[in-house]
Amino acid sequence: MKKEEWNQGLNHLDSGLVEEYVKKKETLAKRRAARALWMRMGVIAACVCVLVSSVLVVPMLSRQMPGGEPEQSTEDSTVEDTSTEDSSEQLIAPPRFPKFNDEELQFFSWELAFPEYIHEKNYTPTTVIDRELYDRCDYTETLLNVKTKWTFSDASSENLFDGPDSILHAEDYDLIICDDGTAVDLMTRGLFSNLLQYKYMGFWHPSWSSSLTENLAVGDKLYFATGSVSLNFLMQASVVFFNKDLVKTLDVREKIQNNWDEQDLYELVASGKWTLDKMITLSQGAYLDQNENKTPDAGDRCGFSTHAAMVDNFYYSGGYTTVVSDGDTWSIHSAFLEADVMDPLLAAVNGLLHTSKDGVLESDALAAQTAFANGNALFALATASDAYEHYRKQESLAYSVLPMPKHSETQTAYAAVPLSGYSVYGICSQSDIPEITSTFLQVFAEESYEIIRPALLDVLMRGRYAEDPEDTEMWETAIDANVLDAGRVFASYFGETRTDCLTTTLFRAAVEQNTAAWSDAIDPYKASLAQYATYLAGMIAVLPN
Amino acid sequence: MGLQRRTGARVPMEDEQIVALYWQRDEKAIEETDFKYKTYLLSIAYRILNDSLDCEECLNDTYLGTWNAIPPARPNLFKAFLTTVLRRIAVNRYHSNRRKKQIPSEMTVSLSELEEFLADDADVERAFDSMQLGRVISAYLYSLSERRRFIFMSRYYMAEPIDAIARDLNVSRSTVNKELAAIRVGLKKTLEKEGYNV
Repeated sequence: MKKEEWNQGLNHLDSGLVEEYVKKKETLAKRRAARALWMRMGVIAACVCVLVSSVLVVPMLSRQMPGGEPEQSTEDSTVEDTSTEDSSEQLIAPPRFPKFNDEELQFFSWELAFPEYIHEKNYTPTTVIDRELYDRCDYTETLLNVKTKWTFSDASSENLFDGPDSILHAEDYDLIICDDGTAVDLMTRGLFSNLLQYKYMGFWHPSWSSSLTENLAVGDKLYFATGSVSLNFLMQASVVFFNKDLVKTLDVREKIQNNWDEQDLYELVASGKWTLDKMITLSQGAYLDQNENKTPDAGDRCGFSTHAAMVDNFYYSGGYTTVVSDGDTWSIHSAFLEADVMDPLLAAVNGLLHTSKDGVLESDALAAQTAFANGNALFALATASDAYEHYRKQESLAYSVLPMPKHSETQTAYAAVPLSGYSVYGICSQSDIPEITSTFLQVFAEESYEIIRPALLDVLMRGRYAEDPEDTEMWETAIDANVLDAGRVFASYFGETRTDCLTTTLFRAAVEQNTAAWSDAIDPYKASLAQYATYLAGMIAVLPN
Repeated sequence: MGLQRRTGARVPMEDEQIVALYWQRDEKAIEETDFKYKTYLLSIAYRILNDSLDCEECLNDTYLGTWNAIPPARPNLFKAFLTTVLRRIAVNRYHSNRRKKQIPSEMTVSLSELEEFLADDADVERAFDSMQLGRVISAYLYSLSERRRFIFMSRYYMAEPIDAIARDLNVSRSTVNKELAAIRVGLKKTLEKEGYNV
């Protein structure tokens, strides 16, 4: 083949390839620009430091040691000196992270639903995710020149907090990985240090949940973090699955085109018009007594299916949290207390799940998963992990996801909450190398965003991550819509007893019991909710600085 | 006080508006295209031709080609459309120039990487159907991961230097080189399987 013929062949590539390239190039350019901005800020900071030290330190040293040799530095020597003779070169491209001196970091991890690290080099990978889990740690160790030693435990919290082997006495750990519920326990026992004090932690990076510092900082301190760094967080993200075959059977596209002037579900989402009332409308008329037993059950076709634990999303999808903070003062979100907001919401959700046959509130997670896996539900509100555990294995099931629908088109963003049980990362307050640990954590998180998240989505999408840009964008949108709420994470502090968890139980119970008036659900607990400040003050009082 | 947007600076027009101007046969379309995309298009042309004068001529031909193509064309992504038009023109000029002299451009370097299955233009007589070849390469690219497709397109379609690709993907040069080697192996097999003598 001639070179000219080759080039002419390339000139006739599918136009989709050129479009994909142009889009990807623009995305990467934006990402690089963001990186460069932070590097520039780093350079400016470095220049200021150099200036300040040359103004202050040099005269001080010359006063202390007139004519003598400079004293040997007694500074922390854990960071290798990476300076070169050509300082201008260093300023042009400073390394974002330092190299360390082969230190060993001790990590403690609870055994979670999905592993956060594959610790056997000769493991047998079951999916591409396993390989990336191993590579993530390997890459981070190599980049920073450190080693990690992982200790895993499947013991219950109680065993770990009491007795001679209690984790509270363990001074060796640098990083702790646990589920969100246990993290609150550890935090209030003073086991975590404030992540916002470490210079290499960067919560601007998309590997961290966007709502972390805004919603979970306690008195301007953040004790644990999660986001794409956590495989379990991605797995527990709430999304709305839809059945592609039922979309055709039930003429969903036609309904969208006729009623809302958009082409399909994806365009509805992209235009910001994907709302709860539209999902309910599209679910209407889907019910079919497939097993002909004249009773609505899991064998029938329906428009929407979910289970109780997911119901909270109907509230959060309005863009609300249950608790808001304005610095040191926290309060219950006004929407959570107002009948004007909650009554119409309950009417819509209860109408879908109880009054109509088109929506089903299944008795448990498995029943809801089975209904969707068997192709019986048009929409299913569930966690991303359902695709991993169930849907991807059903060859005949064609599915994708949408974000949780908004309450109104005027809302700025889609919103949902991850189901509890995701993993969070905290730096042990007893660690004697917290700066190294925090640097490791930041690199680890960024690497997760680069390799773990795409690998996971590839598996959830049955290998179509790279091939199907529309589906991919929707998965990304649906997962990124998941935010954190202090009222949910610290739920055990909202109520008179640690098991009340009022900020997570009240709305769910109102839906489960088909309560019509929100006042019936919340009024008995208003006095208790009003005590939030006291409960929170008690929690903050025991936290380390 | 927060940052204030500078007033008076000319803002590039949205692509949809530019395309609409082409459809209205308004010559302002070319002015707006030039304002928004001149630098981008020149950078591609230069990587192929390595000659400023040739690049300027290519750019003008691209605007003329776009003017003639829209309407009836309605590009999905205007920037990709311009890229395709410019590449076709620049590549034709590249091969025309190359018959007279060696061109020290990134395109020449990227083609040299493919010499294991590409012959010099003068060496082989047989002519291929370029549209069919385009379909075969497209099918092969769609079988790759998105990342590998991006690397292939960067290197062999856009003649991007290896350094630039590594910078885009935040990886080392050697990683890009390894990926390119793997892509070439697969491509060679595909072309052979499809009956191309490589």
